[in-house]
Parts: sequence; C-alpha cells; structure tokens
Amino acid sequence: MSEERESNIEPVPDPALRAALADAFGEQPAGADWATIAARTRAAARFRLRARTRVVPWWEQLTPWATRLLPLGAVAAAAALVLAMVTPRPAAPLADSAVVSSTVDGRDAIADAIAAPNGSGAVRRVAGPVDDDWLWNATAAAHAAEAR
Amino acid sequence: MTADDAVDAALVERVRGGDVDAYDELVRRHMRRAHAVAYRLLGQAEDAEDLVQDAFIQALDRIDSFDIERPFAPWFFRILTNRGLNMRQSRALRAVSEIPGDTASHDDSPEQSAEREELRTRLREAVATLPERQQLIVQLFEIDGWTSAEIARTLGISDGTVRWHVHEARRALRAALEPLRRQEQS
Repeated sequence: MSEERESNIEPVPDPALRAALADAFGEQPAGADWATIAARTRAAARFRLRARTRVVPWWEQLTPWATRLLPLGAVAAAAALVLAMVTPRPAAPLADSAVVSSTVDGRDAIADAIAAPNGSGAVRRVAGPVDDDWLWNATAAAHAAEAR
Repeated sequence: MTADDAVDAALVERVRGGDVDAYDELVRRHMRRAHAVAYRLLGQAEDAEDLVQDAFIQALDRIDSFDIERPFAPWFFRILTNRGLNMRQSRALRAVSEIPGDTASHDDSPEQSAEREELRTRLREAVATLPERQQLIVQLFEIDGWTSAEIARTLGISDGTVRWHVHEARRALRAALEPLRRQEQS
C-alpha cells in the first residue's frame, strides 16, 4: 500500500464491467433484517455497557493501589516500631488525682495538728516552719486559742 | 469534522458512560454500510452479520482508545476490515466458492453457460490478485455503486486515492479478461 497514488479523474461507470463483477461476486443481499441485527448487537453489548455504568465499590477502587500501599504500610509500621524502641521514655507525670489526694491528706493533717492539745507545735511539724508568715502565724494562734 | 462526525463523537462520549441508547444509535447509523463492507469481505450474508456484530463489540471494547477529535467511521471500519480479513483467512475462503453459484440464465446454451462460467472464474482470479484494499474498493465502487467520496470517508483515505485504486483495478481486470475478448473476436 506504500505505492498508493492519487487520481483526479473520476472513473466513468462501466456497465459491462459492473455486470461481469456482479455476476462473479453477487449483488448485496436484499432484505437484511436490520432490526434483528441491531437487537443482537445490543444484546451482546449489554453486559459490557452495564459494567461501564456500575458504581465501583471502594474496595475495588483500592485494589489497583493495594500492591503499592501494602508494602509501604509494612515498611512504615516497622520503622515506627524501631523508632519507638530506640527513643527514651520521658518520666511519667504525677496524676492529678494523686496531687488532689496529697493536698486533701495535707489539709487533714493540718486540721488534726491544729485540733491537737499542743496545737502550734504539731502544726509546725506538719506544715514546716511558720516564721515570716504573719497570716499563717495568726491563723495558727487563733485556732490554738480556740482549741484551748 | 463533519456534522455526522460530530454526532458520532457525542454518541461515543455517551457510550463511554455506558449509555445503551447511544450505543444502539451508533450501531444503527453505521450498520448498513458495515454490512455492505462485511458482505464484500466475506461473500456470505450470514457471515457478514456475524462480522458486523463482532466489529461493533470490538469497537465497544476499544472505545476508550478512540480519539474523539477524529471521525468515528474510518476507525470503526478499520476494525471491521481487519476482523473481516482475519475471518476470511480462517474460514479458508469458503464464501468465495459459494458466491452466486448458478446465476446463469436457463435460456443460455451450453456454450454460453460455459463462457459465463469461464468469465466468472477469470474475474475472481483476477480480483484475488489485487491488493486486499483494492479488492474491497473496486467491488464497492463497481458493483454497489458507492461514490469515491463515500468509500474515502468510510475507509479514511482521500477521494483521489480511491479513484486511483479504481483505475488500477480496472486496468488489471481488463488485462486479465483480454484473452477471453480475443477468443470471442476470433
């Protein structure tokens, strides 16, 4: 076909050649059932066309990526595990409940010390030195006097 | 692109989305021409129907690779002719041997019948020596009366190339029939 050329001359109809060729190769078949041919073709294509309209579920959309994502995920998980093992853990902070409990226990101890017969001495042992704290000294003295 | 090509392109877009009606319309628009070409390739009406259906299904399978900016017909008919040539080879040309059969008039004398049969055989042999595309073009042009423009649009080649094929085929066929003509004259 590489030797194909062009011609500007429209071939003139040749009835004798046409008749001879028609005799040798036949005329086009008359009365083809076009509706049946179209219906058969449509029926054969229906499954393929339906496949084009079907909503693809998420797991099928992921399938093409799975071959890449799964190894990547495995590598990332292994790296995270190694990092977690190598990194030193920070000291655990005190729980809030422990602080509250300690505070409450401290208050109870102070109250007991104040209520004790030798008042200010016990308070001093529990709460530490009270020097230079005029408010604390005044409160402790008032409670001690009241207790007596 | 012609208006017909634009309609085809719009239908192809819908077919890509699975539109059955669009596919049906596309089939109906090209079915008759496809059947004519298929018949010229295979020489049997039933085989031609099978080929047409097969080509439309193949086209659907490859519809995503079709360039929407180009005409649909040449793309589709290339699929059809390739499939048809494959089918023709695989079926060992059973069609050609079954073509017209006995179309001789019953009024023919034995000599006339023999002459007609001789002419048929020579013509078939001569056509078989032509390039495959030329065989198709000469039959569509000479027997089926397609214009060079129609053939060109269908096969995706220029009018001038179609005309050249027709001239070449005529020259080859006349040369093949020349001995018969001399016999008649003598």
